[in-house]
Amino acid sequence: MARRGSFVVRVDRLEVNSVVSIVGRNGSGKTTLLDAIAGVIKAEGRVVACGRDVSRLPPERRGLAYVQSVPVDPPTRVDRFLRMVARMHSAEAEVEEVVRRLGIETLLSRRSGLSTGQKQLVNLAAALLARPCAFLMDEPTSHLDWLNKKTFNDVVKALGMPVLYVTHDPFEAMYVADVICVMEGGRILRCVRERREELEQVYKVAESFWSPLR
Amino acid sequence: MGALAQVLYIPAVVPPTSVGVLLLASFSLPRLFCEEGVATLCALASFVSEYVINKPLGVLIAMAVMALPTSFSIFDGALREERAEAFFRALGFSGLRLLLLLLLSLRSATASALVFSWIRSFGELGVLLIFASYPMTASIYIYQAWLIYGVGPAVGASLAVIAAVAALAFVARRWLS
Repeated sequence: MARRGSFVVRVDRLEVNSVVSIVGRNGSGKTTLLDAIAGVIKAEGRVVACGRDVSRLPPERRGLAYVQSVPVDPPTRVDRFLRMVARMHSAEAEVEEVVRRLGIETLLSRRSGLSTGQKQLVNLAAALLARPCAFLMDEPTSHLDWLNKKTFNDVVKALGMPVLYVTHDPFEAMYVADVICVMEGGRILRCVRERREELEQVYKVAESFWSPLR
Repeated sequence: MGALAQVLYIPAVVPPTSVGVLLLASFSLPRLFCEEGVATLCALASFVSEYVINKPLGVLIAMAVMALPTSFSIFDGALREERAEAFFRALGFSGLRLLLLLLLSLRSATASALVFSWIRSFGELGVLLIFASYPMTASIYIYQAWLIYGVGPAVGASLAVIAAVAALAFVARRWLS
């Protein structure tokens, strides 16, 4: 359970072993849930990551990379920043591979003037080099064009790691996630697995998500 | 942190003349103690009278003190940038490295705001008149021009200062953005 002001998010249990997407309207508690799991805000209950209880650990020791909707400016030249993160996590040998995978070779010598989409890809590269045991992503493609969105989501799908992926867009959730959960009023209403076989069910979930607006 | 903030915000809420008087009194303390027989402070007293009060270093000190509240609020604001902090902490950074990354990440906003707070502090007449009136800064020159020659020449000097500061602000903004 976590609070932001008077708003309360209460989740009994949420297991993330693949790409799990949380879909919900503005103010449904998606970001608050991620903040609580990341340790950015206080929460009651247990957060288990990397097979250990990290509930009492600060964010920097939880092993959870947190990519947010508004990307953070690289603090220094992109290549230096990525190497700094890699060095900290003994991942120097992986820098080239991560850069190639995300197609950001041309950004390495840049320090400023990056577009929002380019910054987001750099943020994801840094997150990959931090060798987390899971990813938290809060509408990470909301500022990306279609091509960058696809590049980003294809990387997420290929990670082979637990990802809790928040989005407004049910169709994006269907593209990227194995499990889609609908959140409303600080609660997870339901989760749907095996999206291909239960596509109709997902559409109904998406419809129920928008129906209060009609 | 709260107590420190209270102290650092003082120059913003008290009259600049009070800040000037308090600065002058503080920097005059070594001389007073020296006259009372504390010989170890005599060297400091002579340094202050030779290099600080009514000297370029004094102007810099006065400007730094008057820029403190704005600079601190910018610094404080950078530290409260929760999204950036959450990102860097999740990458494993903490302590001073986290602080450095936050400031570097927000470098444009932080640096331009610091520059503008310094430019603003340059015009704090009250503190400069009392603590560091020499070498003469633009604000003191305009004040004296008005006292001696009337409003006409002071308007000319004021317009020249506005043009210079606007140009400086423009260059700073372009360079930092």
